[in-house]
Amino acid sequence: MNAGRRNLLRFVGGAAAGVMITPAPWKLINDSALWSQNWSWIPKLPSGPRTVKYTTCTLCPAGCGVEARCVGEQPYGLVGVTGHPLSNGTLCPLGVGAHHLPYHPRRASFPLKRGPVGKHVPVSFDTAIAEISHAIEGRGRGTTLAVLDERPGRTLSLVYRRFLGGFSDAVYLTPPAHETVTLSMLSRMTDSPAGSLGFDIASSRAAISFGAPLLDGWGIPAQVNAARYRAGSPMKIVQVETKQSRTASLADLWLAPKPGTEAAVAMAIANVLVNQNLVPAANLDRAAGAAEYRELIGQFPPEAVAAITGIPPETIVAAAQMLAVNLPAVAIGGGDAGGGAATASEETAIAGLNLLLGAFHTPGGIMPRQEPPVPKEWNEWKLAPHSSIADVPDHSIAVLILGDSPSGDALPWTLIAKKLVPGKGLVVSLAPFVEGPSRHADYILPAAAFLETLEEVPTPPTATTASLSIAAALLPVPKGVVEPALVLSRLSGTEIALGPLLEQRAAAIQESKRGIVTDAAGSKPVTDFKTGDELWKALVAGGTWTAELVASKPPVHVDFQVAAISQRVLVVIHPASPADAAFPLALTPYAWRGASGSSVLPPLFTKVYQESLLRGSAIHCRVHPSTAAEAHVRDGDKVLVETRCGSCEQRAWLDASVMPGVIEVPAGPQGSKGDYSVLDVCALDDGGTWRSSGARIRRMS
Amino acid sequence: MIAGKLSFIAGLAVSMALGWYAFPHVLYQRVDQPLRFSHKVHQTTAGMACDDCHSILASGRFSAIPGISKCAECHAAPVGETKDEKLLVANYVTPNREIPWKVYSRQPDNVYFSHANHIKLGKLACERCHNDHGKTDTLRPYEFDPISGYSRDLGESKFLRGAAFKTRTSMKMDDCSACHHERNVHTGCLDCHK
Amino acid sequence: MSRYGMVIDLDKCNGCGACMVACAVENNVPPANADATERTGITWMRVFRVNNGAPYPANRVRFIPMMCQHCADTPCAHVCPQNAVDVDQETGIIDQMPQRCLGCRYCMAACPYHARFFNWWDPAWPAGMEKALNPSVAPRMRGVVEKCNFCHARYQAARAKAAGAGSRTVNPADYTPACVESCPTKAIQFGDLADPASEVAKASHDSNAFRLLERLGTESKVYYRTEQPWIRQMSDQNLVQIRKEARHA
Repeated sequence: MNAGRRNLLRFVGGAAAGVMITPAPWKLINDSALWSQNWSWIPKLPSGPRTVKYTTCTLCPAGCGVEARCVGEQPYGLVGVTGHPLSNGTLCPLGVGAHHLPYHPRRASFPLKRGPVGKHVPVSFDTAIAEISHAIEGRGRGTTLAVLDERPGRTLSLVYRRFLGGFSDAVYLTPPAHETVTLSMLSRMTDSPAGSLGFDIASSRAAISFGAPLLDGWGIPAQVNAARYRAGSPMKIVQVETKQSRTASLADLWLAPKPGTEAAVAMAIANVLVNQNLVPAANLDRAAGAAEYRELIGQFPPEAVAAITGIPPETIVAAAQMLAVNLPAVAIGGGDAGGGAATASEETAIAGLNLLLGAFHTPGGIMPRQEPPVPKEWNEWKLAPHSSIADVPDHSIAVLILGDSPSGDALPWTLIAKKLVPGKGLVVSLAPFVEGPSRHADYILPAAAFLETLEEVPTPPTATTASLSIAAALLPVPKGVVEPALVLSRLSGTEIALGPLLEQRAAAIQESKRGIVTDAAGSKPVTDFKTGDELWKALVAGGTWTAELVASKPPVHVDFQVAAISQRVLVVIHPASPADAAFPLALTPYAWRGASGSSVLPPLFTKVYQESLLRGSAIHCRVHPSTAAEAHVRDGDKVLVETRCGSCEQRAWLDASVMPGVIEVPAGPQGSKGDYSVLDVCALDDGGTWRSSGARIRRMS
Repeated sequence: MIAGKLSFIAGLAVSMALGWYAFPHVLYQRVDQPLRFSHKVHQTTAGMACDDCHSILASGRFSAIPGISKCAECHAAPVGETKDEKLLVANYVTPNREIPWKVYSRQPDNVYFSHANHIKLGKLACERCHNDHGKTDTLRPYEFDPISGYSRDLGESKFLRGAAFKTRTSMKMDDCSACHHERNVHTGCLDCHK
Repeated sequence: MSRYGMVIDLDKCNGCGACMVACAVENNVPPANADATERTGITWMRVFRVNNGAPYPANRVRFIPMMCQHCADTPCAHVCPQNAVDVDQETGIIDQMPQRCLGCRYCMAACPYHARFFNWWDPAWPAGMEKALNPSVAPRMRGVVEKCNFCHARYQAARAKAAGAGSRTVNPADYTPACVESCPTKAIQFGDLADPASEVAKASHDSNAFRLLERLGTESKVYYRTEQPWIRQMSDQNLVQIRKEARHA
């Protein structure tokens, strides 16, 4: 047998035939099919035993209970806890995706410093502390050190104030309030015993809201829902708002005033309530300044106000009647998370409606709240004075420390910037994300993100009962993350630790024997804790402590504060200067809680603002088709929105739901491409408000 | 002519030998298990039952391979003399670290399998798929196909290994559906996929 | 034989978007690619913002959550050349099999509800976030179509739980899709339409209940309910009809 060509071919032929009856070719074909179903670059699923853990959401002050479904130790899904005393199963879209926040692309997980070209570069913690200390020591006379705490009311907030108390000239700042504005106005208008107030909205039968997003993330959403979807007698909502917000479109009655005229509507409603005897005369007559108030509202008959606000007089009458027949009814001001509150005098006018409606110290209205007990020794702490950032003198802050936790409400950088010493003000951020005001910080010493550290969830600021719960640490903390308490320790040279303080707080609550703890599954209330440690453990396991309602003691002295109201509100009917002809449109920023551009959103939020048209993002501006036509703007055009304070590029979105002559721009979310906020071009009012600015719109070629 | 036939047969023989014997050896990659584990010792010497470690939970999920806390119940300190047990205690139990077992029966991500359905409703015995894995004294190396990433088989079967060729408990969907057809079990796509 | 379906109360939906986020979390849908828009994004559950068209201020906005309507007469299944759309006999759920899908998108053209989505990009998550994927749902790949399957993984889990107790009957309390579970106003009811005693079956017979594009005869299993006549009217319109009316007006 010779190895000839023919034999070789036969051999190959045999081999080819043979290989067909082996598994090799078929297996390879099969394998390649399987390979194509399992691309190696697609992430592999985690595996492990499934467990359930309980925690509390800290993204906004509502304090919703969260059930975290975990694989191994890793949460993969968050749902609300049914039966939770505050949230009863409710979780907003932010809460639903919150377990992804630690992986947000804008996460800072080690200290950063602003580099020479303005970009943030890594810096060692020790270097940063040394440089910040140097700046604090070297601050000039007459300038201050300040902490801006966007989530006041926590033990850490007290720690900030105590830290600042160690400096003679330091001041503790909070952002301009919006949800609690009505409450703070009311405490000024009455001699209510010192203490906090809350909205007993779950029992209200009607609410008139001046731009407050009642149905879109306001107060404790579960309590609003409980009232709104109450079987038989759902709470009526009268919404007074220029923009057709979610609350406005779903309200029983929507009054759309021209921008800046909301307070005139409030006065007109007061006028109808009084003149048509819809409310007991005593509600008005027992107040100081009743005659002046009567005289003031006399200047706002529905017909006159119709001309100012554009709302038909019969609608104003209908609104007043709807409130009067559905008592208890409550009036809520403060605006939304993007536009913020109106000026103090306008908010005083709005808050006054509560006195007329008899909502003050009435179940279903506004009720007093007793704050949770504080350990005795804390009362001896030397605390720095507290002020709203809007009330601080301009150019006075040399070193500003931005707190660890953004509230998610809008806070224009322009408002912060004008308080800093020009050219020299140093800004240090303790926030875990480079977003919102943090983007302007000179140093970022990032705190842990949600779910990475044990956090305290204090009483929601609009609640009628005090509460306390804990957000447990479910995820490991990245190495470079710095606890805010450690930063304060290093800057002050004294040891400060938050953990023991929180345990002391739990012990003080246990000693007071007040309230109950509802366990994590939202079912079993427990009252008798033997030791503070026992109560603390119950809280860490996901329990919620809630205090009982306080007995209401109606105030003796009530004052409508007519002087404060008339100062501004009368301007609406007698404008001092005509509207700015160069900027004939009204730019009104808006946002909803948590999505105002000052904090990051869970990555999957793109579904809501980028992959669908459900919510606009900071790149959109909505205008009525008629407004657009006048400016020769078409749907989808790139436009320049200009005000006296600057301009920003936006994508026009023609929307028949917008009031003609108004430009609605979301303050957030920023999205992956946006890096500016419309708030930067909004004109700041003398009262630190930014609700409406004169503007114009122009198509960009 | 005979020479020609011989060449053909030689070619056939060579390719068949390569295809049947060498190909699986070349294709599959072997990885040793992190520890030697003996089902036999646990059942006989320790007197444990299968469902001490592998059981269906109240959620309907199968507990599968127990976590390190289960091992620690008995092996907080070595109870025997073997080298592997010392390793178990030192490397996994004491630092409370999970053992990175290579699981023969781990399904790809797009497959859903419920032990509860097959055991409680289908009344299948463990051996139907895992063969005698529960009686073994040691863990053989984990063999996997680097192209598909799949394990070679589910238990102690010898798919593509001659004698036990018919014990088809491989990872292929054909094997699942063959058994379903045999038992006349109708399934939709997402009954087994996720 | 079950016939799972929904009744969505449009008067309760405030368009918050929790269902959309919960759906993406549950089903391992990745965040948007930087270039994705509302036309190319993937939202198995999508809340549409609709408008009554009236001039301001009579203008009103409402929200319609839309997902696969799980038609009994299934247009997408009829056109699929790959048998990648499976009408589950047991549950009535329309399943999409990404492993079989060829990416031709006939089904997307056939679906009258725009409830199907194509993977224009490889799924990508920010670094580290893949650890937080739902272990019960496989991620898909670029080039295939996907859609709502009423959180089938949750059905599987509920069935396994029943099986663990030796039963073939799924307890309704064990099977709730993510959107239903997450809705803060409880606007979505879910259950077995074939069980006349179920809440969802009763709600589907409400005089204000309707289905989208009912005249097409898809016999979908997602019902809506509203007291607003204009939304009910809108539910059976399409562009052709609207244009035709405009011409005759």
